[in-house]
Amino acid sequence: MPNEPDLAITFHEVAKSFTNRDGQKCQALKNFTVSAESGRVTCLLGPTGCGKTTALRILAGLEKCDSGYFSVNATRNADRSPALAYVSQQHTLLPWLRLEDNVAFPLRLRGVSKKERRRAAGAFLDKVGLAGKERLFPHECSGGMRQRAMLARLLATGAGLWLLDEPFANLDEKTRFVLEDTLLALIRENNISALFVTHGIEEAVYLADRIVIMSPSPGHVVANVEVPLPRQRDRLSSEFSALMETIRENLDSAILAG
Amino acid sequence: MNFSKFLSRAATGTILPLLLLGAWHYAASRPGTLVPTVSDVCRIILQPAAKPESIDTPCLGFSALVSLTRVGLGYLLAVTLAVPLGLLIGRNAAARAAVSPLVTMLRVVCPIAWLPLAILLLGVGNLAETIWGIPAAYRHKLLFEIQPAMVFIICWGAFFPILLATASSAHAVRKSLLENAWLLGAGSWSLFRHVVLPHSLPSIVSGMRIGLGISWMVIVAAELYPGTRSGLGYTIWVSQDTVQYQYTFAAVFYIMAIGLIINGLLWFLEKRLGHWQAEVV
Ligand SMILES: Nc1ncnc2c1ncn2[C@@H]1O[C@H](COP(=O)(O)OP(=O)(O)OP(=O)(O)O)[C@@H](O)[C@H]1O
Ligand SMILES: [Mg+2]
Repeated sequence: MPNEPDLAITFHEVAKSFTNRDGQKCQALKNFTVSAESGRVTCLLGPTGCGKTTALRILAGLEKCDSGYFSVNATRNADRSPALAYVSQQHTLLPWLRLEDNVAFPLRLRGVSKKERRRAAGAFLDKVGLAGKERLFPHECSGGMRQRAMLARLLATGAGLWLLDEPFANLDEKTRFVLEDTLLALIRENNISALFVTHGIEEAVYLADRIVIMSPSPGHVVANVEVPLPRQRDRLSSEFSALMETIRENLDSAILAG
Repeated sequence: MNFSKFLSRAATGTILPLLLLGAWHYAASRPGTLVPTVSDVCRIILQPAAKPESIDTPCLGFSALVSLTRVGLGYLLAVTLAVPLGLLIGRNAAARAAVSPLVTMLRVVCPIAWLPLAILLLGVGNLAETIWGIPAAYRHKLLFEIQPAMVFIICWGAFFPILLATASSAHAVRKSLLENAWLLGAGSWSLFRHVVLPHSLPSIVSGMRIGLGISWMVIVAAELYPGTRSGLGYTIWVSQDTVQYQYTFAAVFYIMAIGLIINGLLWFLEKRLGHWQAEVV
C-alpha cells in the first residue's frame, strides 16, 4: 500500500469503561479511533477527563480495552511492546536512586554492565542539559530537572515510539518552552514517533504535526487538524494564532455538542 | 544547625536528668533510707565484674551478656521470619487475607503472657542441656543460660512490629513506580528487587528498631520469672530480695545504656537507608 502513510499507532473503535467503587459505570472511551504516523508528533488534545491518559495506558498495556483494538507498529493489541516508552503524568523516577542510576535503570534491567551504564547515563543526561547533576537524588531536583531526567530515561529505553502524558503540565511557562524545544530536538535526532497528550492548545500547536481533538463523556475524537507550520515555530506569528483559534473553536463546539 | 545552637540544645536536654539525679541524691542522703548513694551505684557500674552477695549470682557483665545473647538469638529469629512473611503479605492479597486475622488476634496479647505456654512447650531447660548433647566439659558457661522458652518469647515480642512495618510498607509502594518499572521490562523478581525492596527497607529497619525495643523490655520482665539464674532482670530481682539496691540501680542503668546504644545504631541505619524519603512530591 504505497499511498498509505506508515502508521506507528492506531486505535480502532476502542471502548473502555471503568466501574468505580460505588458500582457506577464510567465510559472513559467510546468509539475511539485514532492513528499516528511514524516519525511524526501527534498530539492528543482535550479537556480533563476526556480519556487521554486512559488511551495511553491502553497502548502501554496497563489497561485492557472492552472492545475494538489498537496496534503498535502494525502489531495488534501488543502487550508491553518494547518499541514503546511511556512517561506518565506523575514522575516515576525511583526516589532511592541517583539521577544517573534512574536514567540507567532500563539498561540495568537488560543486564548492561555497571561501567557501560554509567557512561551511557552520563551521555543521556548531557543531552537533556543535566550534565553534572548525575549524583543528585530526585527529591533534590526541581520539577523541571525531574522532567529532564525522565526524557533522558526515555532515551535510555532505546524505544522509537514515545508516549508522553502531559509531561510539562506542572512547569512554569519559560521552563516548559525550553523543555519543548529539548523534546523536539531529541525526537528529530532519534527519529522518534511521539504521541503527546496535553490540554494546552498552544503547546499542541507548537509541538504537533497533527492534533487529535478529543471531547469527554464518553471520550471520543471530534477532529483531526494538520499543523502545516514549518519547524522552529513562532508562537507570536499570526498563522500560529489563527491555528490556535481554529482549534479553540473546534474544542468549544465539541463541548457544547457533548 | 551550628555548633553553639547544638550545645545550647544539648544543655537544655540535660536539665531534667540532672534534676532527677539531684532528687535521687537527696533521697539517698536521708537517714535510715535503703536508697543507695549515687557514688555507690556509679562505682558498681564501672566494675562489670562486681556481683551482688548471693549464692551463685553472676557478675553484672556476665548478666548483661546473657540478656544480650537471649535477645540476640530471639531477635535474629524474629527478623528472619517476619521480614519475608511481611513482604509476602504486603504484596499478596491472598496471603494477607489468610494471615492477618490470626496476627491481629495474637499480637494484642503481651509477650510475657506467653511465657508459661512457652515453658510448657519448650521446657525450662537450656540450650546446652536440651538441644546440644555436647559433653559438659566442652560447653561454654553461657550456653547454660540460654533457655529456648526465653528465646521464643523474645522472638514473639519482636516479630509483630517487624511484620506489620514490613507488610504495610510493602503494600504501600506507589503503583505508578511498579507500572513504570514493568513497562521498562522488569519481571516479578526485578520488580521486587528494584522497587518493592528498596521502597520498604527504611520501614523494615524502623520496625526492627521498635521490635528490638520491645525485646529488650520483654527480656527483663521474663528474667524476673522464677527459675532464671542470670540476666539483668534476674540481677534486679535478686538484689532487691537481698536488699542490695545499688545493684538494682546499676542493672537498670545497664539496661538503659545497652538499649540506647542499640536504638541509636538502628536509628542511624534507618536514617541512612531512608534519606530519600525527604521527597515531598
Ligand atoms: N481506574 C479508574 N477507575 C475509575 N474511573 C477511572 C479510572 N481511570 C480513569 N477513570 C475515569 O475515566 C475518565 C477518563 O480519565 P483519564 O484519566 O483518562 O482522563 P484524562 O483525559 O487523562 O484527564 P486529565 O487531563 O485530567 O489527566 C475519567 O472520567 C475518570 O474518572
Ligand atoms: Mg490524564
